[in-house]
Amino acid sequence: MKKITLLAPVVLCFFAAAVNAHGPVRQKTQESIKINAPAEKVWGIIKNYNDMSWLPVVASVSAKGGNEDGSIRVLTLKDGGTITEELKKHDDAKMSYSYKITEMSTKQTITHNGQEEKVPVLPVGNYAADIQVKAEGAGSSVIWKAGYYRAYMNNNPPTEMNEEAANSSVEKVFKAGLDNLKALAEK
Amino acid sequence: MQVRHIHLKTAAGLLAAVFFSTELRAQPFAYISNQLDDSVSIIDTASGKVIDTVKITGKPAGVALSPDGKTVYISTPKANGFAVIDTQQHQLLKYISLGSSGALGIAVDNSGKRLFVADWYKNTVAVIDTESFKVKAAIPVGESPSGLAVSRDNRWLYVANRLSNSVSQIDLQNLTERNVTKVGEHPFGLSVDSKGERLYVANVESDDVTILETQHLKKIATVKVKTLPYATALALNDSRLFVTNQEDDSVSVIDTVTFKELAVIEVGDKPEGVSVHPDDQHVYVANWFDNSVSVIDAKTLTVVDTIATGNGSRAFGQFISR
Repeated sequence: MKKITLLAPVVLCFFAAAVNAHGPVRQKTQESIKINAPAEKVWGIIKNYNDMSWLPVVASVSAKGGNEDGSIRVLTLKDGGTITEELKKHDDAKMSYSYKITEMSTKQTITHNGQEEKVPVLPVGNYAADIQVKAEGAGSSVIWKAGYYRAYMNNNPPTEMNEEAANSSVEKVFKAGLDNLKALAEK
Repeated sequence: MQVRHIHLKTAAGLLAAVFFSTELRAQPFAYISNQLDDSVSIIDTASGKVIDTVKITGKPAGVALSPDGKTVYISTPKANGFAVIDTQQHQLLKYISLGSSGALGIAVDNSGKRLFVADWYKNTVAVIDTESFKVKAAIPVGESPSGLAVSRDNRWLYVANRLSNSVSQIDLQNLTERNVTKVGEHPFGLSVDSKGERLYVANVESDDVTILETQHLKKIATVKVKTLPYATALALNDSRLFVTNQEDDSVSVIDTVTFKELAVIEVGDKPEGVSVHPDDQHVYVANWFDNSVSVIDAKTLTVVDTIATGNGSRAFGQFISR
């Protein structure tokens, strides 16, 4: 019985990813920032996968594992929502890592076309991202990239779950995160 | 007066035709679908430059070329079908609706007379006459058909059925499924060798490539590659297989004799479509995130050029003219 309850979310995720693959069009966001601090210092702030204290929307992190592939972190956001992310690849030499969202809590439930729809805390589906620090002279730059689908898989999405909602939400998190990272590194 | 006018026009038309066809033979072109830009970049492979961009709506994804290089077909899922582009004028000729937003994988047979479009939602492959653009048949295959490949003798069409984890072999004489076999998890892109003896299938979810013989679709080998292999292409007389690893920003090179991964070549971010130049040596890879195309030398296994394209380059299919 225990096994079944454990499996259910995995199966759900699998199908969500599969359906998302080619209905709506995959979207992307890229944000970067120049920082007047050495790359090593900036990488030092973000390199530990289980430390997200530099990202303003995050209240706390609980993690299984460190910087090895497959590590899981659960971000609890300041508004109470949670996002579970899996580390895909961590590269100290390149000062980069990539990760994937595997689960999210529901932000709100809406009614659309007579159906109840659960809007996830970040209104995206099948989200994968990577962040990298590059040395630039005495300073550095940080590039944060994500690829994802909108949260609504069928045609005619509600405004809460369309492409604009997905893109603006990711952009907002990235900008706030990079601005704060710059402030922390230049201190 | 009127007759003379017509003659002049014909002469000009002939001249233009001669000029363009000569150019076509001399310099193969690569047609790169840019999904987020709603456009197709046309790369002159001789200069390595984008010489023109054709705007098309419908989120262009898959690419197929007529054997004479005169027409390119681009699947446009959001326009429920595909677009037809004239490669001599670099002009959009028409949109053909198939009434379904599942159009993705696309291929032309080697006579140029039939176009195949896989329908992701209807689980069929539509057979379209390239003169009348009428749908002649819809062949039932597995779930969510994606990659398509035609054997050089024009006898067989191979279909990767992503959600069925299988490959279908379609008999192009009677347009029915001759055989079907299980491969890895979520097969997407596939290639058939020039002798028509072997099939290479990229399995997105199991991070490997299944190698099948075509006679009975028996498995010869499974080769592990990197994360999220997407599409495949053969170069150097079928001796090397190139596989785009979407989540690893790399291309795996497999020796088709030893079935060993020879090299992993770093390309742009989120590589998707891959095609080989008619010189059989230069491999073109569309990088979805980076909006570029990486050119790999199959002999030295290095990236020799990177060409800026449009937003969200996918180029799923055979996208270089012969």
